[in-house]
Amino acid sequence: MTSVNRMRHYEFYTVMSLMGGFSTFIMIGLCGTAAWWLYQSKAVGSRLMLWGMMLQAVRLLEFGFASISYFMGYFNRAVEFTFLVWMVTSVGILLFAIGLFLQAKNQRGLQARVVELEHILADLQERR
Amino acid sequence: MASVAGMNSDSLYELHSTLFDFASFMSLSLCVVGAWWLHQSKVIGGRWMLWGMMIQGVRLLDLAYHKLNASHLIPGTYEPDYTLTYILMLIANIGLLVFAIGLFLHAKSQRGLQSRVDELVRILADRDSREH
Repeated sequence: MTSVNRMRHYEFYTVMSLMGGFSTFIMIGLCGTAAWWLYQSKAVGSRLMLWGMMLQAVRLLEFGFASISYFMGYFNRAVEFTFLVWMVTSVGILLFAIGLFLQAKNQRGLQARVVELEHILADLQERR
Repeated sequence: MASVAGMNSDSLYELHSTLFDFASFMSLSLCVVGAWWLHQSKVIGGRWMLWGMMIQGVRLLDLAYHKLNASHLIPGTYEPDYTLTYILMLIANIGLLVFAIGLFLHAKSQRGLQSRVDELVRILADRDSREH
């Protein structure tokens, strides 16, 4: 905290924004890949998760727009664009959460079901 | 978009903040329940997801702080301290990363699990039909 307080506010906000942008980028990459794998596995709710992550990716556009504005020295950029991005990403995160909810609901006990079925199959093979 | 552009900046900000808070709260609740169920099912990465969502809960602290500040319930200055917001958002971002790693591990382990179940059920059904 002490080192953070010593920093000037401008630097602090820049560092925090960059870290936020970086973690968002990593998060979209990880969750997007996970959603794609789940979609390939035909898991319930995975399509919603995938759509949610695609909408979330709009954040990257905003991040890119903000970075370009910053480096070009154009600080009075349109706030409406940022608000619009917030709205789209809010819908995206909601879709993703609904998809994850459905997926988790469906996956409850699926792992246990596989183990059970494999046990039954092994028992049958032993008897033969 | 035209009606949005016609609004003044303050009311636009209020509207978007409310929508953003609502979506955050709803998604947080849904993801917590999802992560809890996955953790209960003992899936790989379920614990990471649950921890990530618990760390994400600091967003609610930030929300509560700003609501209290806006209603002048906090004594002293009425200007909110955005340094606190940034620190809480940083913690929330770490939580989001932990959650994303958990989901990644879960999805990696779950690849083809559904099709494996279908295959096993089909094999057992085949065996049953042959025996009868």
